[in-house]
Amino acid sequence: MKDMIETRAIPRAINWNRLQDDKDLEVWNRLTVNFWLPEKVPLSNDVQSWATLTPEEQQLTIRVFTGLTLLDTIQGAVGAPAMMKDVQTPHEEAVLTNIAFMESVHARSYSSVFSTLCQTKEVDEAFRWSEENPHLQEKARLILEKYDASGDPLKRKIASVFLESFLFYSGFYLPMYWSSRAKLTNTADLIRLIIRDEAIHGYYVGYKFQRAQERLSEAGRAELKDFAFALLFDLYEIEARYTEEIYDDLGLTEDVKAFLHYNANKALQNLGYEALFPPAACEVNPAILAALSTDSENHDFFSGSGSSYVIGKAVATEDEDWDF
Amino acid sequence: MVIPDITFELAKGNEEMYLFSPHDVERVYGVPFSDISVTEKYDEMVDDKRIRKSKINSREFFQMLAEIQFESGYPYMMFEDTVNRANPVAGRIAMSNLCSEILQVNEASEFNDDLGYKHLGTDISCNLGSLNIAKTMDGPDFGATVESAIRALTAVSEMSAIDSVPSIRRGNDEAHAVGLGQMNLHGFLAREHIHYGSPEGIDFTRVYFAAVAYHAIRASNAIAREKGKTFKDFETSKYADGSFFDKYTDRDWLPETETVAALMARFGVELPSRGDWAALKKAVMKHGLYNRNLQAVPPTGSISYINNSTSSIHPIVSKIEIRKEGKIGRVYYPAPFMDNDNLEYYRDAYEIGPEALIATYAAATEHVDQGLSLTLFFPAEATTRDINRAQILAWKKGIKTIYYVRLRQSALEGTEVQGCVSCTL
Repeated sequence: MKDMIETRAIPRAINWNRLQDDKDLEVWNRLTVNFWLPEKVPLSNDVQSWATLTPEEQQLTIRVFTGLTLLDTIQGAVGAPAMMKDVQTPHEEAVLTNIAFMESVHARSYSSVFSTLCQTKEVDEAFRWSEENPHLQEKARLILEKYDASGDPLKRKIASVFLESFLFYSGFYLPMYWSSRAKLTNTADLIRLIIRDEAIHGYYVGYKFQRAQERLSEAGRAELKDFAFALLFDLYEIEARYTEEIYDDLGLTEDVKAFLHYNANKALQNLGYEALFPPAACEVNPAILAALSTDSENHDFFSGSGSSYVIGKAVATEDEDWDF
Repeated sequence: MVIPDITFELAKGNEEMYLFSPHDVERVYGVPFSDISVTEKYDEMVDDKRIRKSKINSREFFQMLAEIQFESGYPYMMFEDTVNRANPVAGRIAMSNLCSEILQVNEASEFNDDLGYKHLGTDISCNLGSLNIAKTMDGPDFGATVESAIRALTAVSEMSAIDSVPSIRRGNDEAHAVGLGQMNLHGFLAREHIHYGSPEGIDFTRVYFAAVAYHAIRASNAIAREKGKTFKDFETSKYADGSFFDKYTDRDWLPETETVAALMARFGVELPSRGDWAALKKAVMKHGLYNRNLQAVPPTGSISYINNSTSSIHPIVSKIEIRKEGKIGRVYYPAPFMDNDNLEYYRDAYEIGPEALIATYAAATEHVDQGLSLTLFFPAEATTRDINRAQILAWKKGIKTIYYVRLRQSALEGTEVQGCVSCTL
């Protein structure tokens, strides 16, 4: 008994007033203010719009969402927890617990879309599809390998940034595309809330990666960079094939690929690397870019809380405020 | 949320605030709680042991309100004592409509068990329309434009007969109340190179609304003369005894800045003098008014975009507004008249801040017999205290109602969407 107690390291109580890295608090504050649940978004307003999609479009949408659910499940259950033992500060670990939970909220929210818009049979079929789709399974396998406990902590971070900042976007494209055509606009709001979170997750993990690799030798950094680009090439191959498989029928593949290039560059940027794809290959449809923006949207509150929902900070008024 | 002055007074002293059982209040006073001026009866109700009550801290109440508003934009607020002090007609105003610009006296109906009317009360038909300030200023005849608008709204009131709700039909037939609103204030000011909320911007607002009030009353008086008929209970109004006009005959409502004086001259807008107001007072006391209510400034969302106007008398929310519309999804709306040379006059509501917005609304409120939908805008870094401070300021400046509280969160640096044209201006 005594031995067991001695071998278990007791963590030091976390003191948020002694920060090693101010970024931890900045990101923590932003993530907690951004907390949301799918029930905040009035998805049922999309029921009529859903009915205007063809059966093929509906099937595609459900399938894309099951694919996204898989990625969020991996990130919430494996990715974020795996990175917790690599942390450089106790505050980073706390931020990762938030990230892990929000990934579970994201995974949960696709099911809210399903239960609001779709029939159980279609959803079951789509989940089965995602379990059998070779491209989806392949990218999940590639990422999970890197998350493996025996792996390099920095390689885990690279894999995580690619998942958060790159792999999601072949899926995110579709609701943004519908939204730019005035379809499923409330679902798009929900997706925008997810995008708002993922953008911060990718940025933060990328930032931590950059801080950690500062301690490495030139050679160590070069090896990581080779690893990152090699992994990105592999993932891009899969994404390109996945995109062709699901978007060819709608004639959107070229457009989605430009979006993939744009996001691949963004993922590399989060890791502190130069862009891979030239600007000409990243000319994303302006309607999609505009649909991505989450700040400054205006809406009637009686139609829901939109994609700019934030939790307020309560501060008591003082006597001077009541001077009248 | 109907807020009486006493709530602010109690919060000023950081005192506990009593909450009263509405059922007991109705039993004691014989009228519904909402028909009682809480400010007037507060101490009496505190001392009345027949009324059950509980206590909360008044400042915490305001803080809780702000917390809810932060997340949901609601609840709207109506400062009932301000509203009733400014009400020129007999009776008590107990509520507003959703958008908080309609402030009229209504009378409760009573129903039989079979839901037939035991007593037919009066309810309100919102006969609303708004002028585009830029077009109204462009002219050529300011007074004729306002008069046409009032005649048009009067026609709407006369053509409306909501038979499915007899109390609304009765209210509309008796009052012919209309609500002339305004939109495109910010667009007009920016076009004329005046900053929203600047001394010149506020000066223009004050003078413009005084002139609209004059011509609206003049038009309603003309209609009353033509028809030989006034709204019901005109005799007991502040129009009939002339006291309404005191503030217009005791002082001038003319430009106080050279910029606005020059602007009015350039557009050929003749502003009513004290003498004009005195003559109007005489005419109204003699022939009355046809419309019980004349002005109300609604939020004008979609209709202002169709008019290429900024919304209501609000500042713009963004140089290019992203708006979510229920049926058609996201709509992108660039502010009217905006070009490379006048860009600096298009500061948005979040940059302008609540003080300038409230000052602008206060200048307009002075001349509007009903309400004005006033939305407050804050960056997401704001706290409930900032919201409370703005509410206190609004109440202090004589604002009648507050509509939404809007928050804007900018993307964390490093996570912005890159290359988005509509986001870069």
